[in-house]
Order: sequence, then structure tokens, then C-alpha cells
Amino acid sequence: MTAIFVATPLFARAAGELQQAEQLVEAGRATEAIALVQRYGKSSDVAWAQVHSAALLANGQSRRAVDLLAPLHAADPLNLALANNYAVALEAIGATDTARQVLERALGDGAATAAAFRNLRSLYAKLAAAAYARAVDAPVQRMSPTLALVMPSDRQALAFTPGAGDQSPAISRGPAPAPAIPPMAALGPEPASPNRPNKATTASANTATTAITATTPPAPTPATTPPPIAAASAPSAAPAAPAAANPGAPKPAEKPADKAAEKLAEKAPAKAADKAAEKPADKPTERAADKTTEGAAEKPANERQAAALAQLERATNNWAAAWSRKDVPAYLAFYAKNFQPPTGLSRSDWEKQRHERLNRSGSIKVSIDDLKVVADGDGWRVTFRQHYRATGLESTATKSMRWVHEGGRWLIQAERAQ
Amino acid sequence: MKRITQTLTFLLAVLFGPLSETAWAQTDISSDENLREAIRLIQSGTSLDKALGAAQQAGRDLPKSHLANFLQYQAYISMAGGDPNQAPPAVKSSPNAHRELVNESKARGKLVSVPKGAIPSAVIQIGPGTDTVLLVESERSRLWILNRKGDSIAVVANHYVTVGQQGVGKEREGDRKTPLGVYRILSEIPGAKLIDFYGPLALPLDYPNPMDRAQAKTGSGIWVHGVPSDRYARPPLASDGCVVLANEDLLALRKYAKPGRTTVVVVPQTNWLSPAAWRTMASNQLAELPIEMFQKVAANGGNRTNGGGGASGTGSPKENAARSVYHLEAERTMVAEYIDRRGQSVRDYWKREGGRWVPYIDATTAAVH
Repeated sequence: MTAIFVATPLFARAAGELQQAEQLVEAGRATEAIALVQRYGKSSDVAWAQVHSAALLANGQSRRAVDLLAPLHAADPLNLALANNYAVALEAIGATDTARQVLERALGDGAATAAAFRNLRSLYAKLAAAAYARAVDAPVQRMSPTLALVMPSDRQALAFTPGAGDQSPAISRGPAPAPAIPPMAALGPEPASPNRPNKATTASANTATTAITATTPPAPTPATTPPPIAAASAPSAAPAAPAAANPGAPKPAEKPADKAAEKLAEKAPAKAADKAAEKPADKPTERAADKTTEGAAEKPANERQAAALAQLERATNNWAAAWSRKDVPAYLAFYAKNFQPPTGLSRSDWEKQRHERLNRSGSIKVSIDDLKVVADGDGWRVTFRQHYRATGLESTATKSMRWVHEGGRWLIQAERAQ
Repeated sequence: MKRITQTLTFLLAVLFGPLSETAWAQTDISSDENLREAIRLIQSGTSLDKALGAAQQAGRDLPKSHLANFLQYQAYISMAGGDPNQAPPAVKSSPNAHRELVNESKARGKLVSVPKGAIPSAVIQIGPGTDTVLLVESERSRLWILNRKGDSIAVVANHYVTVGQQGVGKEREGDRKTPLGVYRILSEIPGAKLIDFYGPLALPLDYPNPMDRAQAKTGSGIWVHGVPSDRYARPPLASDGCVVLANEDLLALRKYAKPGRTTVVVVPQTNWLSPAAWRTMASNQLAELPIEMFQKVAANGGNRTNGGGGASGTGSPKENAARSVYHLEAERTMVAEYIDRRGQSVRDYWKREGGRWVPYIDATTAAVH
């Protein structure tokens, strides 16, 4: 709003009318805005002309908007807000190439403009990709830098590659490397074609200073983005650089999931213990223990295996006990966070399914025997006979599980029934 | 007569609608206002700067919202000249994740403004036995908190909800649909007893209700619950039949969701009427309802008797006023709910047949734990 007063030293009342006209345009009441402009406005005044042209464009009177802005633009071709709206009006009547020339001229010439445009576009795309990665919980890929530097004496941009760590940033003359982002619809001027051989130099204090040209671009304006062309309805609409507003550091996508798993792991065991106190794991497990201890005695050489066997037996029995007493949190806490649910279910769907299965009415009794343990990489493969008895269903199956020791606990990484 | 009434109601609704198109009920609370503002701005395409600002604000308000980041993406990629509906090749993601965000954005964007003070036509009356009605409109992905206000109804808040993967109209166990109808909240399961997936709280509903059982519908475990702690919300169609809210919304709803005193009504969509139009509609519907036929709630402890029924409990205006009445418009079904002296929910059902409300099943007592 302040820009209005700077641009138009009018009396407060007139400024009020101008503001009102601008609001009418924004509210989509173009005809009323035009009436107001015709009553109070001066056609020679840039601010009024901006609002007037925006109202005309909103009203579909593009040709009149062009005619209105043409003389004002001719008188002050470097007035960017004016040039912007003139370009919008030109585009509206199909004069796309003239619109481009108007904007290019207003933005200054050649290499700097081209580089700034490319840079700004790259920054938007980079910020877009980072926001997207956060949106879909995907890891953010490091995108190859695409920003181009401009030297004071040059009419051509320098491609800039920031150094990693102690490496110096590399700068090469010529067009910036192709961005790692989708090729955008042809926008803005491209940098001049390389008529000099590519020559790598090192960044000096000098070039670092000039780099600022690239990061504080001249007003980019939505006129460069194809679909919705935005008209600055008054000088106040001269666009701010939104890129600078949000550096939005991407966060690793894996983190939240980890946290959730930790929380679950913390919560569940305590509860498992509580409940186990109510209903201790019972006989069938003792029998299984007897048997497997015998099995282990046959291979006394492998102490590690014996220890694992005892621990895994207890863990497997506890798992069966949690299932039997329908303690879903305790049951699910036995599964490692990288557990692959069978039949292609997602982890949450699988958990939900288990929740529902375990919560069915009637009692469930799961017991195991014939437990065997074999080392399997950094974990152990445990096979056993599983006896399942629920209301209306009884089954015995051989089950194979892969257990791993993580964070002081034994967790199931894979489970398969045979 | 009926037709005239309906036409009149419709006309009133039409006349009322455009007048207050943009005004929201002042009492409404909704945690996703900034998200919806960003969606609106991005869809209108007029100001990408404003759209980005709104999306960033939504991201600050709701740091766990994936959609807020998606909306920022859409604003930025539009500024870069890209297509806001395409995924950027630089980010590896599943097409599912992208589609779910587009769906959530569409679902939240669907909430066109409801006139200030408007009342849903699905709720005809809230009796003193019911403190709060949670009305779920599945096509809008919204849950409305409604309270009795004198003989009228006040809209307290509205929240985005997720329903079943396969939508609504549950019939069979495992069909991944959310049931349509009138349900009671049976109990409250605290978060400590739940895995993280269900959020801070779960409210089991009494599906299958008497009407569902009469129609041989199967399945169980329909809950109102929250989301895993690393998320703000889930896609609009994602549950196995439960009604899922953002955790902050669920906690805001908690004070209204009292086991035995709160009814959950699930409909595909309802009409929002001005208080005057609603009053006319409601009194016409009540006048048409042969409620006295069902006044069998005996004086002796609310036990149902066959045939006659206690003298004091037969269709007195007082008892009629004590009922909550819901109109399941899509199913041409009317439900009247009465809370007996033992705090149990008694529900009567009518079906629209031949221009009349015909008793569907005799009411059944549903125990409230």
C-alpha cells in the first residue's frame, strides 16, 4: 500500500478512492472499479492506470488495457510494475513476443537477467522438490546446483558449483549446467550461447560478491509462469521474492517413523510385563523348553548358540503368550520396525489386521513346541510347531521366524507359516 | 400436503443459501482453516504468492501435515513453471503417496461454506438424553459437532475425517466401508491401551445397531479414533471402516464424546438449512412420524413390553420431546432414539413407503457400557 503514496502524491481522499478501486478489482467487481476510475482517476497517473488496466483485463477488455498502458510504458520503459502489467495486457491480446521484449527491457539486459531468471526458477524448483519430499516422506535427493554467477564485465553467466567441504567451488564459463529438475516450459530468456571455450576458474572474493546479483533477482513477477498470468493491479503488487521467505530445510523422512517405533517399543514391553503378571505363560512352553534344551545339549561347542536358544525360546514363548491373552500392543512390540508383513500388506494395515484378528470374541490359545534355532547372518532363524486354538478354529502349523537382537530386545524381522 | 411442504422447504433453502454464501458460523472451530485457504488459493491460481504464504502458515500451524508441504510444493513448482499436479522426478515416491495427497486436498477443498447458523436437515431433534450429536458427512469428509440449543441445534465445530477405503454403507465384515446410520459411543479406550496407530483415544461404536442386525449386516470394531503420532491426518478414504480424525481434533472432540450421551450419525451428505427452514422441516417431519405407535417404553424402568405398554409412556408429548430424531435421507429412514431410565439407548426405525413412514423394526434396547 505504501507504494501507492510513493508513486502518486495525491490527496488522501484520492488515495482512498484508488485503494477502493483496487479492492473492487480484487473482489472481481471490475465494472464498478472502472466506473470509479473514470470518475476519480487521472489517465496520466501511473497508479490509476495500473488499477484501470487490471479492471479492463478482468473485464475482458484487453485491447483497451494495451492502449491505456502503451504511452505510459513508452515514457518510462524501466518502470517494472508498469512493464509487467503492460506485458500481461500484451499477452492477453496474443502479442507474446512483444510482451517478452517489454519485460526483458524493463529487467535490464542480457546475461544478468537470464541468469537471475534461471536461478530463481531453479530455486523455486529446488524448494518445490524439498517440500514435495516432505509431503511424501521421501528422502530428499541432493540436487546438482544450477545457479549461475554473473561477472560485472561479462555479458555471460558463469556456472557455479559450490565446493563440498574443503574443496573450492568451481566456476565454469558458459551456460549453467542443465538443472536436475524437470525441464520447465520455455520461460524467460535463455543465457547467451557459449561462444567462448569453457574455462574453469576458482571462486575469488570478487566473484562471491557478484554472486549476490544472482540471489537478489529483479522482480520476477508471475508474468513468467505460463498458466495464470497475474496482473499487478497497483504498484504495491510489485512481487516480493518468495524464494527468500522460506528456506524450509527438508527433514529426513525416516525420522518420524523411527520415533513412532521407539514409542511403541517403549510402551508395549511395560504393558506386556503387567499383563504377563496377570496370566503367566504356562505349561506348554515349559515342555518346549525341555525339548529344545536337549537339542542344544547335542552341540555344546557352540555356547553362543545355546545362549541364543534359551533367550529365543523365552522370547518366542512370550510372543505366543501375548497372542494368547490378546494383548495387541505387547504382541506387536515383538515385531522389528523393518518387519515385512506377509502378502504385501503395509505395516499399518497389517497391524490393524492383527489388532482385529486378536480382538475377535472368544479366547485364543497359542502354544509352541519343537523349537529349533539356527544362526542366520546377524540374526537367528527359529522354527517351531504352533498350536492355535480359538473359538471354532484349531490348527497346527510349522512356523519359521527370523529374530534379530536390537536395542537389547529380541525382535521378529520375518515370519512365515509352512 | 407432503409435497407442498417439501417444495416449501426446498425453496426456503434455495432462498437462504445465496444470501449468506460466504459467512461461517462464528462458533465453528476447525483446525484446517489455513490448509483450506491454501487449497482455495492454489485452485484459483490468481496469487501464487498468497497461496505459498497460506501453505507456509498451514505448515507452521500443523507441522505434521503432509498436505501443507504438498501445497507449498504446488505453489513453488507453479512459480518455477512446472505442473503442480505432477510429481517432480527428482523425488522418488510412490504414485500412491501422490494420489493420496491430491485426494486429501480435494476432500478438504470440498467444504464449501455453510451459511452462518445453518442446521443440517439430517438432525430433526436432539432430545435431553443426548448431549451431543457427531454428524459425519462422508462426501464432504467432515464431522460436525452439534449440540442442543433450546429446541434448536448449534453447530459447535467441524473437523476433517477419514472414512473407509471403500467408502460408506458397510454390509459385510471386511468390506472396508464405514457404516451409515445412527450409533452410540459405547466407551472410551485411552491411548495407553492402544498402539500408536490409533492415536490418543478410541471411541468404539455400537455397530451393528438394531437396524443393521435386522438387515443381517456383519462386522465389528467400528471406532472413532486418531492417527499415528507422526502424522497430522490420513487420506479421505483409508480406514477399514473406522472414522479417523487428526489427533488434535480428536482431543478437542473428547469433551463432547461421552459414552452413553453422544450419538454418531453417519450420512453421505446432508442439506444445510436456515433456522427458519429447518424448524418448518423438522416440525413437518415430526408431525408425520407416527411416533405414538412406538411408545412402548413402559414406566417400570424402561423395559419394553409386548403390545400395550405402560400408561405413562405412551406417546405423551413429553416423551416425544425427549427423543432425538434423525433423518437418514439417502436411505429414506427415520430413527428416533430414547434414553431410558437405566441410560440405555432405545431406537425406533421407520422406512418411507408409499408416502408414509412405516415402522421398520420394533425398537431394540442397546446396552451402553
